[in-house]
Amino acid sequence: MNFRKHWWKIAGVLIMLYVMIAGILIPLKPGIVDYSNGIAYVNQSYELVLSTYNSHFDQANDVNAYILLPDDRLLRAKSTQVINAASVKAAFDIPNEVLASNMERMESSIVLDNEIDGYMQYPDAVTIKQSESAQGQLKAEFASISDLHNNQDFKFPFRPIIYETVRNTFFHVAIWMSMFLILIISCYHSIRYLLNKDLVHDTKSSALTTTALIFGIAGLLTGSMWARFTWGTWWTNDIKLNMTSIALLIYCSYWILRSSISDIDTRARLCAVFNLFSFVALFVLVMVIPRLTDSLHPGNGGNPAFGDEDLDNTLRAVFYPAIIGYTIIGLWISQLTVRYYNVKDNFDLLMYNNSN
Amino acid sequence: MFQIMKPPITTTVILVLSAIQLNAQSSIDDFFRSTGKIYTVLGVVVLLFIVLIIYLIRLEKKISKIEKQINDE
Repeated sequence: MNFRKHWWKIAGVLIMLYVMIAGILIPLKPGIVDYSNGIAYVNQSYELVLSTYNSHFDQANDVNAYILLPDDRLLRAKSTQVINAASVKAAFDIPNEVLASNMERMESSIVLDNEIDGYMQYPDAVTIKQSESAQGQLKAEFASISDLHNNQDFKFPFRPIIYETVRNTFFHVAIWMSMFLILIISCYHSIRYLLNKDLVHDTKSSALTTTALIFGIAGLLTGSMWARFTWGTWWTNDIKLNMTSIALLIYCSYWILRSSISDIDTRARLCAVFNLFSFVALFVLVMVIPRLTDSLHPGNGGNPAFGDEDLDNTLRAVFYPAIIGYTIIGLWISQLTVRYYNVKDNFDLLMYNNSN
Repeated sequence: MFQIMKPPITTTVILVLSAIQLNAQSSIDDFFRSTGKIYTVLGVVVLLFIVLIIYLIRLEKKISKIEKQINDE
């Protein structure tokens, strides 16, 4: 085996090995999974049981529960009782001052904190409401955000509902991104063909588009699987899903176009133009239109994807290599397809010459 | 004369699938949601692998065919 010729394939395999091992083995940060009671009233006490994931409350000494207020103050629970490693019972006294008298209700996050796991929060977990009986002035203790323990271990972020499937970023999201990269290379070859009419570029472009289509189908199927166990259905009428399926159908018509023209030069020219058109359509359908409306996908509905909210540095450390790895594997598959086309063309030419 | 009609294959598949779904809905759901939904990640990885392997098998078949043609000549 010629190392100089094949080093990029070895690199691709090593990167994918890293992605799979790191993507599965790096643990999730601890987080709050569920809570028993979501409604609290001003001037009354409020009790709830919180269940958590990956936490070590039984080994911790300094366990506290808080309600995060809009002015960044933390309302400390008057008692916090550890039930086991993954559940805590907390009791709060909600004082008058928490909710302004002109407000009817307020949604607040619940924060749990200990010195081993650091802090974990459940956004908008509790709704604080005004109560009819405003008698009694409950007092409470407040803390500031700097009092929380911050655990900087290299772990993937915990998100409600998503849980461990945040790892699908490396398998579902990354395959879409590498599909885009492969399609960009395919467009490059289409342009090269249109410029110098060399059929080599047509073959390369069509092989790359095929691989990208396979990646797209894989992306759609894996997304469907992910959606089933997080959003609850195999297919939602989410804008991004529908637009993506339209884009993939356009790419399917690329293949119908390709197989319906027998003249090699006409086919190559039409396919090159159609490939460029499809890419622009895909880009508009998948990257632009979903941003204009609401979508279940993160990063849509105005804000750009992969902000710090959605993709933190631990995810990036595996996500970017994953994109590169899939792209290399995709290029490898495309290269095999190109070599097949070349052998087939040479053989057909030979047969044609022999028969004449 | 009576002739037993064979149900079309799609109908059969749909019936079988819905039966499986009725029986196994909750247990399969529980399985994929257990341990922090880690099996959903497994499912996604397996699906991805299956799609790539199906394409490679198709390519392999095409190559075998052209090899056979070349050897026959």
